Amino acid sequence: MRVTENGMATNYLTNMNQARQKIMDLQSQLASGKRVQKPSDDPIATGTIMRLQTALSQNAQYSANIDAGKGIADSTSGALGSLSDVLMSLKETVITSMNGSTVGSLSTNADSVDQFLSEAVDIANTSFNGKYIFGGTQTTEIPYTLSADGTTVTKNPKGVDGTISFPVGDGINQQVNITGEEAFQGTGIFDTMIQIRDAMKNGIPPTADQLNAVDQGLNHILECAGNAGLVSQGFDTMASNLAQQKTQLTEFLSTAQDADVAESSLQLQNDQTMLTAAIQVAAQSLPKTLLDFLR
Amino acid sequence: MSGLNGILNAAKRAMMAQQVGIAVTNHNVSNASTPGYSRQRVNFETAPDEKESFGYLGNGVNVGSIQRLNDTFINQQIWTTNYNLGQATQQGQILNQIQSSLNEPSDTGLGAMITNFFGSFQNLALNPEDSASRNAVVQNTTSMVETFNNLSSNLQQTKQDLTPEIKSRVDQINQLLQQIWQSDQNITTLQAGGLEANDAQDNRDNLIASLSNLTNIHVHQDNQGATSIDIGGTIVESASGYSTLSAADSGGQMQILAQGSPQPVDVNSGELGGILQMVNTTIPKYSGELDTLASTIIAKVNAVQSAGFGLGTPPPTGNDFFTGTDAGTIAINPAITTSANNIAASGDGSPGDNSVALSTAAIANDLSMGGGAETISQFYNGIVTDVGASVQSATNSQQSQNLVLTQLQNQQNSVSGVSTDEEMVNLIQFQKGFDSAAKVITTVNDMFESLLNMLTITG
Repeated sequence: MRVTENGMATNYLTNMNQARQKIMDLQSQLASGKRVQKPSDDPIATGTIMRLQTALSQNAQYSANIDAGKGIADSTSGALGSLSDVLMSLKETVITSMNGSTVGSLSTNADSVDQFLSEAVDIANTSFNGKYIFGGTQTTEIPYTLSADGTTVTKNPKGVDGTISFPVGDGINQQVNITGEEAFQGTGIFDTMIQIRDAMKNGIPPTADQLNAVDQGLNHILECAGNAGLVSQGFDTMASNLAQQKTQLTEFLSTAQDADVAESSLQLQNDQTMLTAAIQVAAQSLPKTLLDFLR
Repeated sequence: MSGLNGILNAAKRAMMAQQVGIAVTNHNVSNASTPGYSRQRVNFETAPDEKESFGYLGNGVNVGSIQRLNDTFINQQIWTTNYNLGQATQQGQILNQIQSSLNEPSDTGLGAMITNFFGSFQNLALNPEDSASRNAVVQNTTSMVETFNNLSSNLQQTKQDLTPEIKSRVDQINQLLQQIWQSDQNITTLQAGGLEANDAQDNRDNLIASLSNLTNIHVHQDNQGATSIDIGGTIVESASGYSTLSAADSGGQMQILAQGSPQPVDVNSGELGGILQMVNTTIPKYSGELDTLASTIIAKVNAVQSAGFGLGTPPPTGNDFFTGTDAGTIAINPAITTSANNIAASGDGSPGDNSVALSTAAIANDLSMGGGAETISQFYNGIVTDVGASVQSATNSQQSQNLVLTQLQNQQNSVSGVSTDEEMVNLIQFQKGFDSAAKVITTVNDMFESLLNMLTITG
């Protein structure tokens, strides 16, 4: 093959351009710390990266949902725990009153029951984060109202039975509230308390049926509090799963996206050495022709 | 013609021939860096000999021809590579623009905006009675909608900007066709006497090379040295004349028409072919996919939202969330920007119900795209990876065509390129030849002198 100066020059330029291009790519990878900066750097990895980024932001969103849900579940179980304390005291009062109390002591005990009633209604109106937790989906309106004369407890006429769910995973919604309807059996628990109080005021000791009703109400509240506790525990498990998942996703993302600094630096050094060599060779060989020796 | 005069004549021819050699060497060396120059070579041949009684006596040298060293086969290959390279380069550039306007992978691209949009509905589900989470929905939606609008108008702008690019390339092609035709006419005239018009041929090949960068061409050469050129089967230049091309919009498709021919010219490669493909196929494809994405989001979200209830007494209902029909027109319903309480979170009107917020957020997980195979995000990721793969393939093709071109240019150089070393050797050779012929003349001159001296002595 005939070799000409023009051919050598073109060859040299092409090679040098390629070397420079490589060095530029590596430099920008090292500067940004990212191997994939544009989709064309690696289309398949880009797909993976975008999927992982979506998964990570969903993960963060689910964590936030779980935090919010746990807040509601915890305050629900806390409120129901306090209510069970109130009902426990009620039960003791009822038992004391059943066992041959005087009319005078019945009246005093009736006052205690009245006190328990207003405490129970207060608990039913617990609000968390500005929302009534036992109001069902009517979170902005007070769920239970004790009439001024203390004779009736009425629930919000719009209902206290709406359930609220938060998304905790793809397509998975977890109910986070216990409705007033469920916890207090409509107004059942308050009605029982009113009946007992009114009877005792009139000097009639509580009946065994009434004690049963209190017992049953207490058990139900304990069960509901337990359920809320379970939901909260479930949230804890989910949160730690999500945290683990997040660590994994972040690791995958880093593998797909980040530049291997050590490898890239080494490669960069290598390419730079090659470029220097090419320039040196060109500087020495390109200008030489026969003319240099025809003096 | 033998005798001293004969030798003198032969020596004179030899000197002239060596001079031609030196002139051609000079021409080669001078044009060593001229683009498209093919080195020339003097073909010497022996002058017709003379019959003498003792045999045929040689009569010196003649300049037979000046030959242009060029390989038409390599030329054809270079032209083909040229238009493939031109196509890949243009497509790479345009796709790169599209790629950078997508701005992916990042947390500010449309992908993140869509995720944030649906995420803000999950946040709304946590606090449906809260105005802060409603305002966040409006903000996230505004960002997503603006990104949609920008992407759509960027694509439209890119497409519009390419129209003058097409026009200017068509103009260049027209100019080149005219010049090639003139050069062709020139060569036919020059070569009528049977001599090679070397430099004129280089000139024409140069013009054809420029043309081949712009469009796919096929070049035929007849025995008389005249060329005819066709683009995708349509003859655009021949001995009888050249066509004028024009670009025309036919139903949204840019077409190249040759004067006097009803069928569009099949320009499928070269810079022009690359641009046409982008304008006619690729950009409309990406716009279409973006529009599908936007219209699906509009339809799905509106269907869920308009059936739900906002916040208020009575709770507002029946409000569309979006207006518009595609990526260019998608916008948040003004009723919602006026009051974020018009965003529906509730399914029954109670302020704490979040069922509609949940179902709106769940649209993100619906397999609503690609015939029920992909979620909205997956479909969008598909567009991004498709653009990325197209840029990559255009870049790869650009690189490989460049390599092929370098190889071919090397081959062409090894045939047509000027080597200074070689020319210097030739120069010395011709100089020595010239010197030798001069020496012969001096010798003959001496011989004549001897003869004349003899005459003087005798006289």
